[in-house]
Amino acid sequence: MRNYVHKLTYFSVFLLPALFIYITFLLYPILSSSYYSLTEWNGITKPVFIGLDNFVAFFNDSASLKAIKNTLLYAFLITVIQNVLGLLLAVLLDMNIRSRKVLRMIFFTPVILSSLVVSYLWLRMLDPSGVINAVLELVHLDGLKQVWLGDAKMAFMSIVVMSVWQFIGYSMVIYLANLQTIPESLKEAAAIDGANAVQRFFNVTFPLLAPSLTINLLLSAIGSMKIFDPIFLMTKGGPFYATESVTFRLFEQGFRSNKAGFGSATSIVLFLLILLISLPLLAYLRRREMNAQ
Amino acid sequence: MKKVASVVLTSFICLSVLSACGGNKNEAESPSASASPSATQQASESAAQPEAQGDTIKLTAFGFKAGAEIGAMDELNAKFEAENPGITVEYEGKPGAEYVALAKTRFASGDAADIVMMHPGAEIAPYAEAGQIVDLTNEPWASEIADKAKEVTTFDGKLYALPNDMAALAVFYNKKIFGDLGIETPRKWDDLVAAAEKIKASGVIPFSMTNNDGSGAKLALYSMAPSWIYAADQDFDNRLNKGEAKFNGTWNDMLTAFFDLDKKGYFTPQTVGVTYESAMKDFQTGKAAMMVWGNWEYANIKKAAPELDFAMFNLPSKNGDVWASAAVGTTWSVNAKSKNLDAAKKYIAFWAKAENQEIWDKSQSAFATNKNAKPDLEPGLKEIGDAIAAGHFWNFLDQGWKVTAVADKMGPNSQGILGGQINVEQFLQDMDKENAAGLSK
Repeated sequence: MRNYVHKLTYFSVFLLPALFIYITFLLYPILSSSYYSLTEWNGITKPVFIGLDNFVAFFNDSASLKAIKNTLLYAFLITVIQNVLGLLLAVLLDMNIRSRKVLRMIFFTPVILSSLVVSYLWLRMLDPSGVINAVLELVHLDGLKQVWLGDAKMAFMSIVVMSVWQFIGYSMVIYLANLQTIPESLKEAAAIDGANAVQRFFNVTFPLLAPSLTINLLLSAIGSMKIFDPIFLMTKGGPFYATESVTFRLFEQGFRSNKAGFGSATSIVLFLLILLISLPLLAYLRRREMNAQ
Repeated sequence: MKKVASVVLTSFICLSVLSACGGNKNEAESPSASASPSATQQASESAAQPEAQGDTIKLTAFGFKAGAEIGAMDELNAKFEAENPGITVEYEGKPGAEYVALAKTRFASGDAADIVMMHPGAEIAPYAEAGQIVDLTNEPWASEIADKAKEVTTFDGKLYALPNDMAALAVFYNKKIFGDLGIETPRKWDDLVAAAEKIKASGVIPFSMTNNDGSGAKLALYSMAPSWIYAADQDFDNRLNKGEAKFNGTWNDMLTAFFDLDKKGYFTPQTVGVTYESAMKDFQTGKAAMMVWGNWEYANIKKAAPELDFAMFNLPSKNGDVWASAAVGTTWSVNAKSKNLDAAKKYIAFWAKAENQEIWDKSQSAFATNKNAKPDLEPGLKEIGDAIAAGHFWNFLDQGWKVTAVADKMGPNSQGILGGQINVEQFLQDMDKENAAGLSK
């Protein structure tokens, strides 16, 4: 027993550096920003404690509520589209087609590019005199030409499409990995029983993809609720606040407008929002995974 | 027992190594978790911490002039080092709007440079209030600087930064297009509208305008306000800051006149989707005849389009007032926690000298703040220079406003009007609301 305790102390010492980093760079900032959310603070002078006033102001501020609505809509659209298309791509690239290795690489490339690069790329393409409108003109679809980032709905959808385009490869790779663990024999057995390709997919393959579905849904839901880079780089929240997300508003208020206290309160609201959505989602998906096995 | 001791000792060594690498002893004070993107910046700057090594003093300077805008920074630093043996200067430039947030984070983490560049106006106030920058009121150079320039770096009657230069917002115009169509630079708003009509009829876009972030309209309103509002009412900001004046009811004519230009089709089509790059390209290639922007782009345009014959004029009001929108662009302040205060003050005094300011201002196509400096400016900037010399100019709007967040409303709200979601009255009411909310705190 003594020896055991001794060993435990010995090994736990090795955890100290990690613990130190964790506390300094994660725990402390999180706790301090929860404190700052209760203060009136411009980020420079001494914070003044004001209780829950920042939260009251947040929920009375129509722009903040709009940002929450936008964020939820981003999360929903991006999660659904990215997973449906990602799964479709994975299934297609799991088949025995000749260029599948090259194609997998092509679809995965945007994931490893920096958001900055991707956003500037799309900014150029979406410009009224950019390549997307030029191509539409070339194929005589002039009627479809748009001021992509100048119209509220189009700007919002452009950001959704760009995000999906960027991260679809990520979902695809996770589904692909899962697909390769599914034994051929199961599908063959189903085929012998007379199931066609669609039936085989929905009755055999899809239930067995439960683990990857769980992780993909969670990752894309949480990730898209924190959406910031494309908005910051492409629309600055505009036109007329149409594309503002909670993180973008947090940044604008906290850093640009010198309301660090309000910004901290916004981050707490976002944290609770993510928690409120991801926990039930996780619970549901876990249960579903159990049932599938 | 020996083992335990050695383990504890080892772990302490590990920890000390770690903290030495980190170098940011006050890192934990950074404003919030969301500030983490700057962590790498801080780490990179910690290498440039002021340290007196032997006889040489290493001064660090941090500013928002970088890339194409860096101008004579290196030249001046070399000149300073030559004049002051034993002091070396290391300048770090981070361009763009994120500079403000970055500087704030560094001050908060005790990691700021000895000399820090600030935007004038409200940005300086909180640092001054918190005692993080040095009072420069009694520096010998202070009397040489124009009073109107010092106003925007003064807080509670004390001078906290040296204004280096003045920048102006005005209209770049294509002299060839104006000449071919027989248009003179406008002295009244109606002249401008008539000119735009003529230009449009000739198949050229009158105003190249970016509004994908609302900045084109915002800067245009910034450059209209001196002629339209402040030429007649220089007390407006005072009353606004006390909550006695309102935008709605006083600014309506100006906004209506401006947004009418869009209704008449004088802006780049679909301006709300147009980026700065594309708007600037239209002006440089002659697809558009005018563009409202800052004179700091003068040198860049000349470099990018050497063939282009262009100059700048100020936007006139309906009554024929032609004031410039000119404001201090860069200012230097001294970090109160600097270990090299004397050297830092020497550096600022060096920048305040007329001859050095001339070098800097010329490289920025900017106007001087030192009363004795006569920078050799582009002839195309003459009209603005004359207005400034005559005292016919007003600061950039947010510099005179206590609640600077009001100015942040102008970009998005302009998009709202251009997109037809709101009208001029709602635009101004929203600014009034923000101002009242800010003042009530």
